[in-house]
Amino acid sequence: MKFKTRRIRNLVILLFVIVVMWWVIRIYSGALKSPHYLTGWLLVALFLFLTFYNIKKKLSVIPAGTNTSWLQLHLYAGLIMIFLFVEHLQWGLPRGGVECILAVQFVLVAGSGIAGIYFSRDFSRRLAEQDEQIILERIPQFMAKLRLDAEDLVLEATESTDSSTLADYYVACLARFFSRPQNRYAHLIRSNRPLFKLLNDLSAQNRYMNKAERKYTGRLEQLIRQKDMLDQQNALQKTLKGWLFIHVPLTYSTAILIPVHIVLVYAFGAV
Amino acid sequence: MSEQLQDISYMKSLYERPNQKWVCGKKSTGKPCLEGPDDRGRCQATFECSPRKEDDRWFCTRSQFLGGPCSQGPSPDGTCCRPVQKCQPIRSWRSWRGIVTCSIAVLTLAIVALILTLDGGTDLISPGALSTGHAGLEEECGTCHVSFNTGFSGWVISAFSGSIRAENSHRCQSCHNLGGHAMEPHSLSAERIEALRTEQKAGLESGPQMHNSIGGGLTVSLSRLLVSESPDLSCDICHKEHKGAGRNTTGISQERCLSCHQDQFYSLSNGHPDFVNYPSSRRTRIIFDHVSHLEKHFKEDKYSDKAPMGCGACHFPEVDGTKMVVYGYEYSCAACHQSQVSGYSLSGSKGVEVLGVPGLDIDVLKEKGIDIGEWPEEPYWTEDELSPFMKLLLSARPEFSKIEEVIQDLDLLLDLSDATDEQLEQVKNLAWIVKELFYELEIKGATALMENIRDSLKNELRNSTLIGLAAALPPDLIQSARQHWFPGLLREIPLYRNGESIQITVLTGQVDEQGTAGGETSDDDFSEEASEDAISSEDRASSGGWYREEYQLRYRPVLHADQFMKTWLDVSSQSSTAHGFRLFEFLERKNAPGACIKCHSIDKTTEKRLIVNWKIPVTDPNEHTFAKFSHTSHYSQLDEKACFTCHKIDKEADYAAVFDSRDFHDFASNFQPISRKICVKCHLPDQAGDSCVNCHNYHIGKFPPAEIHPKTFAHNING
Repeated sequence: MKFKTRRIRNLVILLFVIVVMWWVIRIYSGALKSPHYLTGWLLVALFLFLTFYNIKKKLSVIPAGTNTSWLQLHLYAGLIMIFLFVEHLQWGLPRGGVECILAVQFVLVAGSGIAGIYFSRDFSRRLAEQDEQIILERIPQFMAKLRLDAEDLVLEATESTDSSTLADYYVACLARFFSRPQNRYAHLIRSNRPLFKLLNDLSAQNRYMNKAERKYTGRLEQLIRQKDMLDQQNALQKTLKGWLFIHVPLTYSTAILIPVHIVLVYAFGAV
Repeated sequence: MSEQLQDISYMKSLYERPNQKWVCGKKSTGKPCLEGPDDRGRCQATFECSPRKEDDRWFCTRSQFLGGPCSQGPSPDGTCCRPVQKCQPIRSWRSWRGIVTCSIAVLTLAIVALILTLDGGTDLISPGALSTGHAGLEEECGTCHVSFNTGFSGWVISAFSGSIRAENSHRCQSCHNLGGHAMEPHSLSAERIEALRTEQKAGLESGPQMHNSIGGGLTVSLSRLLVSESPDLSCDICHKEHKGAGRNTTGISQERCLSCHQDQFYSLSNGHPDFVNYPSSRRTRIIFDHVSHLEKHFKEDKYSDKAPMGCGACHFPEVDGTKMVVYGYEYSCAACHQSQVSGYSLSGSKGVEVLGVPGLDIDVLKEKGIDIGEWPEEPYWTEDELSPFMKLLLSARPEFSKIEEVIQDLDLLLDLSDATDEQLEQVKNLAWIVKELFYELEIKGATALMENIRDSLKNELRNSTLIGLAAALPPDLIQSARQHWFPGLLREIPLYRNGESIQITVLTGQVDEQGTAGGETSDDDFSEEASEDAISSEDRASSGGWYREEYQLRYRPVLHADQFMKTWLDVSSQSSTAHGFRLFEFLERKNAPGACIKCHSIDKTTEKRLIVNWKIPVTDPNEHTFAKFSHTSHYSQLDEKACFTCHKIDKEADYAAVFDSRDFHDFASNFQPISRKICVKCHLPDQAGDSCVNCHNYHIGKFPPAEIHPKTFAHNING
């Protein structure tokens, strides 16, 4: 089944489930029952289902479908949960302290989840479009290598041409670029402006260089492009992993607050 | 294509382990060691290889990732000659995520612990500010929540108890008294609900007005399946608190109403049953024919200057705006009707006869030698009879029933020529009990009158009522009447009581020219001029009250709501005795003095008693009926027709005729019933709203307002 067809099918099913739930909530409410209890327990059930995905990932031996299938279920169950959450709040804002904390956590978890879906769709494609896919853990060492290569190149140029124009320019402008990851936000928004600026600046230096020096700028430009590629990989991959720094910790925090919320609701008997 | 940075081919690419907690600190230099840190973050690097010994020789085992065996080789003692500089390992991404996760979890637990243990933590537990009406309870959660003061362990236990909502609802009722059936549908008893259900079913089957339109849709039908026979009707099912000040806590959806109700419809505009004779559930208590007044009386020259200019001249809304009431007699009616009340326009007597001397056939009594002592002759000539008041008062005496039995028709008193001896004997008894009555009235005054009234009505009457019935009967008036009607009464009665016979003595000429039987102004007192100017005793009592006319003591009501007439009508209407009822019939005549019953309708109650409707009942603010309406809320919606927008005159209705009936359900209103279509003009979802609770109350009954909490009360007293 094609991706597009599968997505349309899943969205139709999602819409159908949401409509059915909306209807069931109204039936339940009309039957002189508090819909908060229904939506609340459905949220708990879905929350447990969603967290089970993490366990399933770790325990791949469990013969319960592939992780890909589970991820799909995780995504769509999450979207259903957002609908239930809004229904649980009756399309309003929470007012109590615990409720506000819980709601903010849910919004952050759900929001980071949605962001995660976007990152995993868009950033993965962008990474795949690169000439080379660098493993995140190796990026620092490749950055170090590029920095050393650039420094070696500049030293060689200085020694062989008896001119410090290129070296001065490196120290003034490029040393910082090669020293650490750069232009993270520009890469996230697909902006090449920082790279073009660097290349333009380098190109502008040509007028101050002698003929021998100019032979080295081509290699330096190549190193700059490689470093920029590494920066982009670094930005995208770290973001691909970074959203989980919100999604996972707040999920656990929510898991702690949910029983407290349930106890309070049932103990005080008012929703 | 640019030069590839990463070679992931076999033998050239190290295996990355991102799930490990620590990574080599030299990774950022591009030269990480192969061993990496241990799981506690300690650098394990020593040498680039661990030389291998074969026979007596050490061989370099440096990894191909570091360039393979080195040229120097191991030292003779087997030590690698290429030591690795130690590094400070750094945490992996995964490790950091674990730390953040644990930190936030611990932080959350700490926050929860603080919330549950600190004094101010309860503010955070509260799911929101209370509505304005409950605002004072913000600091006292335990006032409404049973489990609040039991601590967290108690909350956990309460959470599993299953009855906490019902218990909390009882707390609500400690202030909001909704009666003994508060937790039942509509706060009504099961019997009442069943009766309503039966009534509704009958209406659905037979009444064309009941509109079973659509079954409420599939949603409602399914909801009905979920509603149990005895649903949980805790207060919080409908009343949502902690939604903030100013929020409505009493809303209820249409679907919820329809989940129980048999008659199903979408909304007021779509399927709601048509109103039946709305708003008249009964006839008006005050008989006021709007049509005759508007169409006839107000147009007459005599009254046109007194006619009201609009509905508001007579009607005004009650304090809560619910009902339009009348300003009252003095403001709305007196200008035209006072002469009827005071009797000026009455054709008959303006005073009601209360006490009097009945006419007896004196000639026969004298001829037969019936010993009744002194007896005036004039009542015989004027054919005075026993008034209903006298009959009632005499009925207090045990012998009166025998007298009545024998003298079936008391008209006989005026012609005793054919009377039997037994009848003559009872006439004698009658004469003496009449004289006994006057004797007691003179001796004891109003006290005797009140005792007689109490004994004759056989009712437990309050003193205030008795005083109203006696209407300050002046002792001097009794005395003067007795002196002229029975001058020797004070001497005769003691003798009669001693069993002595007192021969009949006919008194004549006791009535003066002014019609006063021996009034204080005797004939001798009147000069010729004065005699011409003198008016009748009835006219002399034009300011109302008691007066003597011939052989009768009469009471003349002049002002509206006369206490004497009102009390006697009330008491006699409730009387269980035949004489009491006859008195009521006497007083309720259209031409009776006071003309009370001209305007005040009489209803027969379910206990078969009669009740005179003196006042338009004021709406009890504690009374919650099924339907509610506020006149004041609708003022802004009135067009140039004003009240007639909704209240359309029905000129064909025979309004006055139905008041001959005592059944208050018999009613021909001056106004056409208000149609649902009038309401629907505005009561639409996007305009004035059409929810059930717009016009209907849920809790039905008489509920007093929220009580002052005793604790608060005591606290205030103790300062």
